Amino acid sequence: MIIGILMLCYLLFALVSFSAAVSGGRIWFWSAISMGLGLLAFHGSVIAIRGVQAGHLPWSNTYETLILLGFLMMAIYWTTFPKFRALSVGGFAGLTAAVLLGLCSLLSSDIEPLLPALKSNWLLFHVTAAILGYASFAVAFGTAGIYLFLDAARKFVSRPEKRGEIEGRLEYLDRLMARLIAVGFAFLTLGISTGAVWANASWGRYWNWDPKETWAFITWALYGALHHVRSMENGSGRGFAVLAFFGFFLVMFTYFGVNFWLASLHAYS
Amino acid sequence: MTTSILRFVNVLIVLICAAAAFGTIPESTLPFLKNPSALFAAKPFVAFLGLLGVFAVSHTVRKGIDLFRMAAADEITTAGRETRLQDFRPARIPFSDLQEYQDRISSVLRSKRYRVIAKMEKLRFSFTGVKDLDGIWGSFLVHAGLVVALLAGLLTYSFADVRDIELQEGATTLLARGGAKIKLEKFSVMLDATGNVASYVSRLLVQDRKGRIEHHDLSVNGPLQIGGVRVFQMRYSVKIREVVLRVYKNGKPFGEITLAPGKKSGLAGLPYTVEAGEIVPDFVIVQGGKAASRSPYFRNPAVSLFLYTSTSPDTPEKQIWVFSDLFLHQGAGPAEWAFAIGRIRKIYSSGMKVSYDPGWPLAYAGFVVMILGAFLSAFVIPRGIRISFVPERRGEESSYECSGACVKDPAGLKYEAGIILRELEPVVKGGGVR
Repeated sequence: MIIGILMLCYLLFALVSFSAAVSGGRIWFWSAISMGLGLLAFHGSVIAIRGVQAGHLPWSNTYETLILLGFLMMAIYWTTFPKFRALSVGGFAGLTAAVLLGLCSLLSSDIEPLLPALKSNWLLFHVTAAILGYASFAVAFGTAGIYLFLDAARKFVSRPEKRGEIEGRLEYLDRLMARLIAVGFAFLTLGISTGAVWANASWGRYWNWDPKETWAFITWALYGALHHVRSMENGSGRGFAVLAFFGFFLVMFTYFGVNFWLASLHAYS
Repeated sequence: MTTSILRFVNVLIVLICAAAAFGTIPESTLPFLKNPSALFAAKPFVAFLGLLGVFAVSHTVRKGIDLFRMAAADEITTAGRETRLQDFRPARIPFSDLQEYQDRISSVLRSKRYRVIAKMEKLRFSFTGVKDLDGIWGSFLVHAGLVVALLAGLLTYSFADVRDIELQEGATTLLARGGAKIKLEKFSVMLDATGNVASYVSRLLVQDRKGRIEHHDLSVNGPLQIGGVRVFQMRYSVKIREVVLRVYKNGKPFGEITLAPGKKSGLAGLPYTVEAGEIVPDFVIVQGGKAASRSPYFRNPAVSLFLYTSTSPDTPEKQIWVFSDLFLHQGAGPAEWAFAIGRIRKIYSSGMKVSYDPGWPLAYAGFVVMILGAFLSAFVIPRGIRISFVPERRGEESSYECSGACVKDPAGLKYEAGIILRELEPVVKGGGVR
């Protein structure tokens, strides 16, 4: 129920953010900010209450990590906001958060006791770091979506000053996208490394080529390749945005798809 | 790296990723596939990873030499290629008076966290600001860390000895490395106060190579170091040896029957022979009225009992569920014959992993270096900005230009230079306080 309300609020937030971005009006702008920050606090309290009820960190299964992912995604968006003020990205992030929370409806919301294998301090570092990485890639995905939309819209704009404005905006979004991917890559590196250390302490091997590990490696390596693309000449712009956009589907498969389609030691995640 | 090498490395990464993805396909999905996960130990796959390592080494060495030179120079050009950010514009400060404006011009750069060096060279007065130069090490460290982690992987691939062992309670095994013997005395599923599982614990008797005997508890996330190997608690299985049934006649104890799985037993005076069917550890009724187990732990055990009469010894006359307590229907008196579980005798087997892996310390070192590099890359963006003044009209006036250098985020450099130049404008145009 509460997740459904949160989901609807995010859809509304997306609408307000897009309206603020398109109209440029002050009322829309402040509505988007106050609503977004209020939602972030509400979302955070939902996680905190669940943690108190469960008696452990509320990220021990896919249902809980989906809620965490939505929260961290919005937190990252708000961290970038003072510098980049990209309201349209907020709209896209709101939509993505609503979809992520919608996925929760496919899963059991029961609070389960923590499995013995998860009773480790590494749970905090490994899961938080990995989800922060995914969240950063999610905001980059939103930014790439807006970039590609504006890039396509530019062709239909004939007025040079408007065209120049869009080009300036594209440069800005390109910069935001690159920073988000760099931050996501850093946190994913931390998540994979702490996971390896935990696996070594728990399963006797730091790397098992378990499907979850393998797909995390694939995601890490391909985002690493995206850094290479960035450092090439003409490595920014549309091509980079296309890769950042579709890269997120890989993230979602690693995070969500592996649990459903592949047998993994990470069955609980 | 040149663009062509980067393209080749990216193709190699995509190939490795495609192969790795193939290795995760479940065998059952495609019937013609035989153990796709064996690919991860296959030599061609290892060779591909090795090739990736070679490129990472080459990048690390070349970049490392450049970076050490740059760090030693501590100059604007050390951050990357210098680009013009603003062409010459007139400043109202006479060139000869620039010394007096030095503090004000420098403070504009310092307000953005730049370290500033002011330098007069012939007919050029330059203010050079450099910040976050440590960030240039980011990509170098990520590649160096990857090389170390791949080396660790090679070490593990070549020398690690990791085995799964299954030990039944009471059984002893000799560890292949280290020469120690371990005996599983008792396996326990530890429950907490709320009845949830806290841990699995194997109580082990360990005899080392010198013959010393010690007791050790092995639990999940709590490995043991025995000799040169580490032992990990992985899984367990349980086998039912026998079920002891309490028999009641008209609600009063009548006797006990010990049932071995799949065997029928009787009791003198009891008109039935009984056989234990399904044993459910944590009984619950699910949708459709079917019996199921809520968990694998023996918290609410139930036994499905088949009752045979002498007239039909092969076909059960009825089947009933038997629990730890005597089952009575509400309002009804005790049945003539009733049963309850007295005891379920189980034997546990503990699944352990015995690991000898010389690669892990090196892998940890690689991870630390990679993490450091990735965070430096993400959060420390090195930049250099140079504002240069040259004399105009025989030194009565001056003009200034701005150039900058960065290894990444050129748009960010341009943006920041714009802010700096805007803040500098009142100083160079209006003169004002010196």
